[in-house]
Amino acid sequence: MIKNGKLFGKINVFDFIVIFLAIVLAFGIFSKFVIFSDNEKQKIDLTYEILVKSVRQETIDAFEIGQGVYEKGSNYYIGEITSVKSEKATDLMETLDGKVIEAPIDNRFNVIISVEAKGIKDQNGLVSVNKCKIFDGKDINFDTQKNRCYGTFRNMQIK
Amino acid sequence: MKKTVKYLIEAIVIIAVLAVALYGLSVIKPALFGAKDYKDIEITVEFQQVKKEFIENINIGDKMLENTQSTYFGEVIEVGELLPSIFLVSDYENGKYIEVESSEYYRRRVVLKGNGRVFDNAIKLGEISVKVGGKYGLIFNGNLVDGTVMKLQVIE
Repeated sequence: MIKNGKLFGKINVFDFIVIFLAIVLAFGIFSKFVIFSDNEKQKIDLTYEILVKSVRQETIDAFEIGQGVYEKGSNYYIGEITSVKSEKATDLMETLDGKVIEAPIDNRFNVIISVEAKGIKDQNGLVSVNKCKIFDGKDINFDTQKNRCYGTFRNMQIK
Repeated sequence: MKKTVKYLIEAIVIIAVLAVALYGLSVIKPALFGAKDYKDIEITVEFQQVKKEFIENINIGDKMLENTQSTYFGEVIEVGELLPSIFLVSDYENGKYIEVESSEYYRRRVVLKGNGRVFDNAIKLGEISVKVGGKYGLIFNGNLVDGTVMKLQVIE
């Protein structure tokens, strides 16, 4: 098959590898910008909240307005914090008289972080910011500069 | 003409391979590309639910290492009071979760001064991303004790 460094005695092996890689590269660029382009995706501005349950005051203090929010793992930037609110945390409890109540928890708080971002909406109506899909009820592990938290998206609104 | 095209294609392929390699390196070792200057960082750590003997002898100047990667976390610059530990328990009678103190276990806060890199999405000591609420096994005075980071302050 290879004679004197030439495939089938005709094509130089190195030339073949170079041409093959060039074709792969060209296909990659073509598919990225032409076949799978964002033509059918609409650019949007959006806001959403992330609810983080049952944390201590120190965690709330470590969130800062203007900080970036990043999906843990992929490290995708998914927006900027615009406000931080907190409320007393509660959890379900069955009391001695058999009732199930939302019982308050001492020194624990639920934090609601409001986030503003630029994203895209695809033809199916799914909204994403930097490949991270955003919809109400979806759980997310996320990082800010000082915090790593587990929260839930809610109240997503397209501006 | 034929040779020029060949060289052009080869140059494109080499540049593409280099670009992919650099991108790969930036993903594996972001510090090499996005590294910021090292800064002093004050880290407040709380030891909770620990037997008294492990945390009663912490002194200013003690050095603390993180267990998994033997990363130097910092030197103790402040030692808080040794207090009874707090446990969260269910108060079924009154329908709430309350904090109660234990006489068997103790808690103590210390402030460490370390040196790390500050990024938009993280503060790193060595290769460890340190987060508020994160629990880290710290080695000091010949003991390994879990501590929770309560505050991070970058000293500008």
